[in-house]
Amino acid sequence: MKRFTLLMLSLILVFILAACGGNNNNNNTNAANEKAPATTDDKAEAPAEVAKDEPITLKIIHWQNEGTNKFYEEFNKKFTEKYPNITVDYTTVPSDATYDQLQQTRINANDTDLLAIKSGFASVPQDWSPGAQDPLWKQWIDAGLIADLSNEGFVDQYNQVDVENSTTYNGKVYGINLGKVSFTGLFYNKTIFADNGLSVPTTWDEFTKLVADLKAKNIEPIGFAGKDVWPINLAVQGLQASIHDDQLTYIKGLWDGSTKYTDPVALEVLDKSQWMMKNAISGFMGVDYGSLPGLFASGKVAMIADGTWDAPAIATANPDLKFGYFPIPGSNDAAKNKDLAGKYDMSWMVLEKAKNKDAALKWLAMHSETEHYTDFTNASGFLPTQDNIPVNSEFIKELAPNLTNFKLAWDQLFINRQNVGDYAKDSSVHAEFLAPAGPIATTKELADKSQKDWDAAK
Amino acid sequence: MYPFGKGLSRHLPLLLLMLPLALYVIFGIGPSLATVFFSFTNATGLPGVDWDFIGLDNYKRFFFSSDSGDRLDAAGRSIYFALAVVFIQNAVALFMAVIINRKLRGDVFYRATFFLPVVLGVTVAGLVWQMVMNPFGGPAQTVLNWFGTSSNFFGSYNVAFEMIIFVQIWMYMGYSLVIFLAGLQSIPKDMYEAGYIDGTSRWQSFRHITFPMIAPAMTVNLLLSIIGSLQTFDIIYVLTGGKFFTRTLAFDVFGTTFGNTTADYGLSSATAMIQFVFVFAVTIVAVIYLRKREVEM
Amino acid sequence: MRDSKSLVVFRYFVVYLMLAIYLVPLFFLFNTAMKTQPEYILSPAKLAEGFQFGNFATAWEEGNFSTFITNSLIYTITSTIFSIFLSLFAAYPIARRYVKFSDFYYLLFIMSLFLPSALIPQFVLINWLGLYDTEIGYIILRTSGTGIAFLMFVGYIKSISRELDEAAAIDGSSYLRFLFSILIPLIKPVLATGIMLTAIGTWNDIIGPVIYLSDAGKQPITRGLFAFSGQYMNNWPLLACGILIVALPLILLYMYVQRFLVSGALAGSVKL
Repeated sequence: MKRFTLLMLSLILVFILAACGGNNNNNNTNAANEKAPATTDDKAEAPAEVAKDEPITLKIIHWQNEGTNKFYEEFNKKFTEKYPNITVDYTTVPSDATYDQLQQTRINANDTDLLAIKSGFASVPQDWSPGAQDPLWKQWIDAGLIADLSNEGFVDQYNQVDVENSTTYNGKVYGINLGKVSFTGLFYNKTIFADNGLSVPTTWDEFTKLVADLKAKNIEPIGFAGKDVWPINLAVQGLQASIHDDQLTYIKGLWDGSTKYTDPVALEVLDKSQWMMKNAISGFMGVDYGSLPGLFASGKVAMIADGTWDAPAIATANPDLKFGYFPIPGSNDAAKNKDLAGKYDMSWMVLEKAKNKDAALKWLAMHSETEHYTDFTNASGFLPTQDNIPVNSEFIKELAPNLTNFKLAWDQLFINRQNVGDYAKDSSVHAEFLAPAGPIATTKELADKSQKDWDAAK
Repeated sequence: MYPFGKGLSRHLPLLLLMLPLALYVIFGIGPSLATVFFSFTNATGLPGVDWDFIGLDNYKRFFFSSDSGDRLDAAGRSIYFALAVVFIQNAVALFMAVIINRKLRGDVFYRATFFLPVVLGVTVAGLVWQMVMNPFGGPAQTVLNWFGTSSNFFGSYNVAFEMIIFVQIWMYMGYSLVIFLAGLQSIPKDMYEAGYIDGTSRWQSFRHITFPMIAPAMTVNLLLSIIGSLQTFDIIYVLTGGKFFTRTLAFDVFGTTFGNTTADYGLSSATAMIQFVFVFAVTIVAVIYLRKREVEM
Repeated sequence: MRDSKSLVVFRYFVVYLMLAIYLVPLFFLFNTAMKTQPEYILSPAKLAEGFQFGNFATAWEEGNFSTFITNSLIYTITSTIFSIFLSLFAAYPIARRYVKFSDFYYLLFIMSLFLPSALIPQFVLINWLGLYDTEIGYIILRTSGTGIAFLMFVGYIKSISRELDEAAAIDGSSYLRFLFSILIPLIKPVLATGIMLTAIGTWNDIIGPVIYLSDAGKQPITRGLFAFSGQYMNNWPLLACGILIVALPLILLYMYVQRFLVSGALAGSVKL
């Protein structure tokens, strides 16, 4: 009888201990942090040195991208070699909603030291956009969650114009932007083009002819990653960049009512988007973004809509593949089609209340050193935001003529209203609702729905 | 009354009961009720940001803001999902149960197979069906191609939601089936024998003997599937992530809390409350009706 | 009542049709796992030409499945053991009305079935307790004395005669001793089912780990498989192996225990 009572009591004890265990662990580490210098004083070593050697786990969250992930795994090893007391906990998840959700939970729980955002500081509400929703990064900064890096020496490593344009807010620097990318073009398979005597199109008519020629030869012209939806929008932004005379004027017009989603120019964007989807490989709504480089590298499609950041992934998927990139020629004016549009890509932010803020700053400082930054640009395929970085990627060098007038793409310029419905939501025009991808047959119908949602949110 | 002694040992049952009770109050019902509280605030997921009570604003936003149409669509899909799952799942399960119950060779194997998806879980089941229904050359697409048609399956704005309903029924049909079988096996054989002598038809014996006798199993199955289908969203998370017009209310609660915008605790709590009122109302009506029916039969 | 021949044929036809809907996807999964990537791209639906068991080794390595499976085992075993004991502590006195307000407690516990979603406050609470992204936090959330096991226990215990308690007490048995050495053997059928349904629930949970366990090193197999699928969607044979690595042990285990699950099993829940 006693045996059972004992068993029970110990069980309860174990349970309670287990429940409190988590807290105890945390308390222990905190206590250790504070006490460490005092307890190690007895030893002959210099106390300050020892305090620094306190084992620390630096937490970093990032998304999956083969080239950059590999770079960071290498870099983190070097970082740990330099600072043996710091272990780096580098977490990566798919770049879709999974990453957004990881950001949310980690910020809420204050459980990361560094985090990457997918662009520079875009879409700040302006005078002409009264009542617009604050972007996430701005909400974080306003809530005092992001560390001010203005006085950190490593910021000077970067081109100051880029720092100003990418990660400066209210005169302070809150992040480190690592480079620019473009995503308004199409990757094309040079071998397929050469074998069939085809050349890179510079006007819409040439483009439609190119697609027709490929189809005549039983080659699938275009691949999209429809399963994740957003990659379709990259091509739409390519059309927007080349069809609109001035995207910003049009966007401002949407706010004051002088332009509409149903304007001929906007319908032209939708019509051409629909045309591209109609001529894309069948079943593209089942292709997820991760498969797209492989699909292209296998030679199954001649072109894919993707950002320049995926060039390393394509090269890995098939090292022998010869490929290039050209801006989508939305209009029949070759000069208007020439320039690629894009954005400042990933930026690192340090959390103000992070447990290991110092270590996070050390990590960014080392990352900014020319040697490591150069490795990074080569691994990522970004256009550098530090000066005098040698670009050794043939792919990027070839793009130079299209990058002389680098401009911002639609999703970097567009500012949305709050509580807007599905057809005008987020920072893009929703061509994915059009057949064959979506349920809406005509572009006019979609434009009407978008305008209705936009007006309702006024 | 209580046979195990007096003093401390008289209180032992209550003391031990306190363990699950405390756990339930702290991590279960407590947070559940706190949802009411959150639904009247503008709290967000940002640490260190002030929040206020804003009365019924979140509820107004749910019904009357410019994007309410999308939320009401989600509510509509919740109902559609529940109706489809409750009726089809139970009808198929009952039909299969009656068939299998007739001493079919290999009945244990059938039962086990139909129950298998429950064991495999939603992640495995979801991936298996994504593979079969891969629009990009999967076998289902190949079959459709024979008939000169094709579909985007889980990537289609038109049928993705129906596909999710199908997978949900595929997953849990076995569960209902097993409960129906337990009910069928509790019916004494001689009841049928008596009917046989009277010369009743197969349908009549089902209608007048089987159906009334499995009323308790029916109650359990209907309740479990009503509550389950209105609250489940893991299958949506796994199959489409809420894209392609597949968000339901339950998914919205998760999506607005852990999505790509700042967690809006107020609005998602209000959504959870509205969902609860709905689940509660439907369940109460169903319980009253089913109990009455059990008694009548 | 004798069944006519055509009726029997019809029955088998229906059952086999249904079986096909359940088994064909699994067969296809296995078939895909046995293919090479080029073979799959050429024709996904065709029979595999050979057996590519090497795929499994690659998937095992790439997917880091050993960590995930270990984690899943830890979560499932601990939370199931705790849950079963707690369910018993709750079910027995309530079924016997050995505590005041038994009916109230029962109703309170049953309410958990349809109460409003506790997602948000639960997340806030776990954060506040410092249990976010900890194994302990997740195990606590998965431990419950009021779930399906509790319901089945109450139903089943009610069907056991009360006189047994009294007889045992007269023989000098204490409350705990009765619970462990007399009651547990008596409720074996529902106990087995309760254990398995609880374990299946934790093993297959995907939303919980998505919210509460963001470290790759702490994630269970569901999350691991989901991440693996995100990475290898372009390589279905490899992904199929990943799925099978997760599914095969379950299928094998299930063959042994299915009689508990699908027979006496849900007797308890019918009495709900």
